[in-house]
Amino acid sequence: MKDTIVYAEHLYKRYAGGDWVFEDVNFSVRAGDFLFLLGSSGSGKTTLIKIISGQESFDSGTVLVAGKNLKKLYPGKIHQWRRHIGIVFQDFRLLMDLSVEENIALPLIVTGFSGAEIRKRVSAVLRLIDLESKRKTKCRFLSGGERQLVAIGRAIVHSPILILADEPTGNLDDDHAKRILKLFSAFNKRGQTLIVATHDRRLPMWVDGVNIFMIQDRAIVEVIPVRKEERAL
Amino acid sequence: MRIPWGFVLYRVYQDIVKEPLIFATAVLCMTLACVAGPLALGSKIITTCLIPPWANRAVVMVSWKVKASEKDRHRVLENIRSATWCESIREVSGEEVLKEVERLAKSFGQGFSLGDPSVVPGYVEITLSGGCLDQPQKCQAFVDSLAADPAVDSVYSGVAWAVEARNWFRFIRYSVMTLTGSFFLIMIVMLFLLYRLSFYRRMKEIYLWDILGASPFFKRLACYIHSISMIALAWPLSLFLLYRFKKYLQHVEHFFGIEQSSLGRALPSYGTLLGFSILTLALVVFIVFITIEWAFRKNWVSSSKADWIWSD
Repeated sequence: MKDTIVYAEHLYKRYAGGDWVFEDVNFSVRAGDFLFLLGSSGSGKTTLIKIISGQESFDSGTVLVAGKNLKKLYPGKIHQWRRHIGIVFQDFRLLMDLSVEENIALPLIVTGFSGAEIRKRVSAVLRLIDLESKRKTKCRFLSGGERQLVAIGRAIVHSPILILADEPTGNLDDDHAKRILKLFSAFNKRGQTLIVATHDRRLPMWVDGVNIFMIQDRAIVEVIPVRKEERAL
Repeated sequence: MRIPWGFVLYRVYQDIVKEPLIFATAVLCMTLACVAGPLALGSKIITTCLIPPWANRAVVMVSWKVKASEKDRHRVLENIRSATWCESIREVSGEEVLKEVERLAKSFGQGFSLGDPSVVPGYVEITLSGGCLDQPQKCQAFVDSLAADPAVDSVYSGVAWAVEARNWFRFIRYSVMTLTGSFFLIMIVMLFLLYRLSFYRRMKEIYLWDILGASPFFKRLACYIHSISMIALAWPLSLFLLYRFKKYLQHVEHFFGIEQSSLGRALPSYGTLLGFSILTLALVVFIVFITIEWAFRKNWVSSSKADWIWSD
């Protein structure tokens, strides 16, 4: 259990009036892992991301994230847990009337960081995502790729212990998708834990050293990635 | 936790500037609610003082028989004076009778007659107080007993008419109370709906605060500040409107025959109106804050709704 960031045991989940999404799901994610959650549309990738991020409850089982039992955090303390994660969405979920730096600063603002600390962190993140020149630009004037970079900046600015990305490249072309994955890979090399949910089976092939979980038939199975060069042998 | 007041105020300002019409409508509804509330609470006093004296009194006229002696008349008058309802008595005799009958015939039309003025030696005009109208049957029985006296020729009773007039004014009073009360409730419902609209407009923002780990207080903060700014505009405006309303009533020279001075005296004082206004304000504030709390508890804004709110 040591170094385990996410640990799920006998996880059951179903939406009201619907079929089971997960039945007796067990998995764990270690600190520093770069995990891809693969699955077709409607397989439950987003649901799992929502469960881990504390947006969605589950019917039974245990989900420990960073040693905390999520079930016990509901409803009063779940917001405190959310401060320790960063989330990236397919549709960016930015406030378009705010500038790039204001959007990136949001997690720091809502959790009460000081002005000086906010400026320092936002500047560092802007350098990292290479959007310093557009720091004052309103997000509505950015391209899709740039918006996703801002969303990533917002997800990392508060130094989360875990980054969750739900179809982060779903709205992007291959070049931008590769750029995003390169950025994720750079974070992972610094020890950041990432979970990326996607239906695109090519993505894990573009990054080294990733783990892959496949969601199929209401269960999660671990698969071993086969690289292009290995396939050629 | 440190609250970023500047940022929250900036967001509230942006929200108001983006949709000024919604904000203005909400302020208007709150103002009208803050006006209707004190008027509903004070409607009993206001409408009571607007009831003219003639609608609160009954006039009875007793005419003497030609043969009625001074002693008989004195006996009847004593009998009338001893009645608790009797407010005033005016005796009319001689030539004055002719002038009075002529005047009254003009006022009351052809239905009013005290017989041939040349043989009527005099009559008494009795004004019965409002207490008489509270027990109209007893009052009418008293009038009938006067008619049965051998010294009395005829009695004109205005009791039934006065009761009718008073009932009408009572109906107006209850109507005013009901209308102002209903208006207050309608404004509150409008306010509730505008809040709901405002929550849908803020949904993205509140959802983001939620995802980013904002505390429950922080999520509500913008709504609180938004409401406080509305109250800060609406309440003084409502006080001004109430002040103008009272001023208007004080300057109405005649209202159903009431003199200006008596109307001004009888209206609720500024202190009373302010008290009613504070009471209404407390109720509006309570309703607004309950609505905000309810919105969050009932998940008007929830992650399950987030998927479609970002679809634009």
